[in-house]
Amino acid sequence: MSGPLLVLGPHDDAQVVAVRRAAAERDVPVQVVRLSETRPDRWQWTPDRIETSEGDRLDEVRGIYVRSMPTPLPEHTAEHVHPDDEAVWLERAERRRRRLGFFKSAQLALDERGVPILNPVWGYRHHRSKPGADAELAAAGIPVPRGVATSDPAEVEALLDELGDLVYKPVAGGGRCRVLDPTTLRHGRRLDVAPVYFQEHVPGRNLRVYTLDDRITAAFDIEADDVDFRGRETAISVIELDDDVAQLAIAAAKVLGLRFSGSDIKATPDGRHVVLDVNPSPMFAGIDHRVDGAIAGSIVDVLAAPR
Amino acid sequence: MTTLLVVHGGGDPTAALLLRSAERLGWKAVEADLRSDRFSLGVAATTVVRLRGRPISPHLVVDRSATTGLGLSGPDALRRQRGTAWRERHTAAREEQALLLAALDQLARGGAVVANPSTAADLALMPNAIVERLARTDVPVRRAGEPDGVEVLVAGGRGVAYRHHGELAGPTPTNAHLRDAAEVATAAGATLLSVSFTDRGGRRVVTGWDVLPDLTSWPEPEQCALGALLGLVEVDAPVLVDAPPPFFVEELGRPTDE
Repeated sequence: MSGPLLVLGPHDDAQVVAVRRAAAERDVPVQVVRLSETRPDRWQWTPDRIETSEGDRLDEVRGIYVRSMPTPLPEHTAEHVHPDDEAVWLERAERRRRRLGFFKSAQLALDERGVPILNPVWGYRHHRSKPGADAELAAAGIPVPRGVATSDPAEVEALLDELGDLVYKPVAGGGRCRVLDPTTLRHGRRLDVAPVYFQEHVPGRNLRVYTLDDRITAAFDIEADDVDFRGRETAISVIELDDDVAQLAIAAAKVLGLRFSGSDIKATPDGRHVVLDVNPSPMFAGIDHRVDGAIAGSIVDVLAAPR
Repeated sequence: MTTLLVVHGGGDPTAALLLRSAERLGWKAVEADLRSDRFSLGVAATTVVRLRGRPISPHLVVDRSATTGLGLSGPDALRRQRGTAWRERHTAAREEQALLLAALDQLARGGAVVANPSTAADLALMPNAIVERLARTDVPVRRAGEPDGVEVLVAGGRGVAYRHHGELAGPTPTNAHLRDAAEVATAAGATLLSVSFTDRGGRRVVTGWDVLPDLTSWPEPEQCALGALLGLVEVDAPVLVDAPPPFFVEELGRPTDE
């Protein structure tokens, strides 16, 4: 296949820019499709052809890097939805959801036609459910923090009594991890509005490990003063992983159906390694220069490899 | 005792029908109405799903909530969230769906038969991908076609009820309908669905499928619900594609109380 590499994501996203640069360095043409602007009702989709309304032939690409699919919330005209506007608001949300489904179906169809994709559709499912990912990993014997996703303050109290120290994060991800102040549990009514994911607070060094298929493309030790180091890094070091930690990261990605991943792993003082998160579309552009662009380069090399 | 869990978002007559049918079979019927009931998931070496604070491990789960892993919440999930601020309702729906996804997947991992697996709800939003899959079989599909022929209710890989032009039919229109319906079920990742056909001019064409079939719209809905439940618990049994499938529940040797 000699077609272009397809990159899905905002054109100004740092990771998209990094992959385009790595592709240019390797003389691999790149096609960027702006899913937020295309017209699904004008796509041509036959067994021989998947062509966007802008004339991009997706069936001719040699590989696909999915940085992100557009999932913006449908805006409403006011902060609050008046009961008279409810039906319109719901209809707009459903149209947005079906539009996302259309793009996902193209991604799945191309995957099933044999186009290499980082990452396949099914690899993103657990990204939308942190406890779901952790349960899948735990079932495979991958060490993860103990936790409970719940709306019940009593369950949180029970875990707090047992473990003494908890952090919490959104169930669906997308937000910061914070240390739990037990006094906030008194606001149980808020928990009833939406569940939260509470986990044991695992101490130790922060490792960020990038995997691609059966190998480690880069690994870093990240120091931070915050329980969630993202954006709060005080020091970053390139490291070589011991084989058992490398195999742990590779295995975690495989369990979740990911070819490409950025995993956050805690190296505890007592010598354990606990997987906190396995991200199917990790940020890497701000850190890749420390390994001479190995992460972006490996993405292009894998997707552009002859089939 | 076989335990059935039915998960729904309220206002679902099929959910109520399935619960009543399970009780007629002498099963334990557990209802999770998402308007008021809450799941939780305790993650550990042994992960536990709780409903209303108690561990639950049903044999069979019928999920009518249409929870998907695609990342945006459906109208039912949005509608039942509290408050009026739209961002907060989206956030709450997203969090609820993420927990439901985890709980349902964990129940399946724990051995429950789930109808339908959450991936079927994802695929329901990706019909083009399903049509692509069917194009690789010999099942003709025309999704815009009028369903004016056979409709097959499939549970656990077998046809459990059929209607022809709206009337319940039996024992089977043709085994070709069964085979095609089984292919659609596989492509759609569903263990409980209805598949509609047009049979105009002797040509059998799939016109659509529904992974949340409204069993109350079928003639003799309770018979259909009973057949669906029994079809699902026997999902590991060989699929009877080439033999006339069972139709009324009496044919399976189960007594009724009438």
